[in-house]
Amino acid sequence: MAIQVSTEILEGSVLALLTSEDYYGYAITRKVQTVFPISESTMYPILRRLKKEGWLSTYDEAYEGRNRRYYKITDLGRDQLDRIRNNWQELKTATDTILEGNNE
Amino acid sequence: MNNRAMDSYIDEFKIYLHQLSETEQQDVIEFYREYIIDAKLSTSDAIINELGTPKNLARKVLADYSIKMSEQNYQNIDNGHISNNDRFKKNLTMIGLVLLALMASPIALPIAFVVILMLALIIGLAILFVLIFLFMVAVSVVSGIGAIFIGLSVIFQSFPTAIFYIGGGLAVLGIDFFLIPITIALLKWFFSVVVIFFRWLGKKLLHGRKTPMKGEKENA
Repeated sequence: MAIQVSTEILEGSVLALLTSEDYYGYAITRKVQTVFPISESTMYPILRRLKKEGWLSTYDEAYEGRNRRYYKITDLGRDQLDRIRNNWQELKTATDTILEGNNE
Repeated sequence: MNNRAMDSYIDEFKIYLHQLSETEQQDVIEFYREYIIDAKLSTSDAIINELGTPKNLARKVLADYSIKMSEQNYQNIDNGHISNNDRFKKNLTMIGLVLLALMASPIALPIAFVVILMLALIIGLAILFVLIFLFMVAVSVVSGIGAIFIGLSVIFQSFPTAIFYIGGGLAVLGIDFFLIPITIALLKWFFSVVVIFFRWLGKKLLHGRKTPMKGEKENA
């Protein structure tokens, strides 16, 4: 993918992913990497920011004798996801209009 | 799980994060510890191949903190929730973090040296300027008041001389009242230029030299 994916899109992707079920850090990174070519070190800052904004919460669950940190979307996070979806639709329509030239 | 490669990687990683608070350190370290275990990376090579060297990873984490912090500063200023003093402190921390990130980056060593030299020079000049200015203000305030007293003392001998001294003294004091806020404004402007420069540098560090992305690695 030649065009760089913006942070907001990545945040939206993580939030959207978490609407179906809770995931742990490595799984989120891998899931997003199946779609966008992000580096492994990109995900931590995004998760940190999402948590700081209160858009997701975390909880620990025991797994094979250690703790695994799961990420869960909050109600605020769902609102934010809606906002990102709307912004994306706007950008998408605007970009299509000007790039494809079908603005009649 | 006994993973010696991971422990040594995390230990080294942690050294570079010492600037962050204890909770922040723990949070980021836990994240990557978990990541390494979940990704089943059991050798040093495997970890570095996936996450980069500890230094590199720390550099990214630090750069991210500094930039997020200054963006947040601006948001807070807009909302009027942050005092000038807080903003100053946060900007200083941001500059420190960017410097640290610079130090942790192996390719940028000569640049780091130049930047630190420049910073030392700039701070030195600023301090010199402030000292000279304070000295001048002190001298002129004293001589202004002195002139007024001299004027008052000769008021019954020579009225024109008295008027001359009193007028001169008042003028000097008046100029001082103008100069102080102007200089404070100049210093603030100067600091904001330094802050903008470091924010730019931080962004360069974060985005300019990223490790190859997943897709690029596979294509190579």
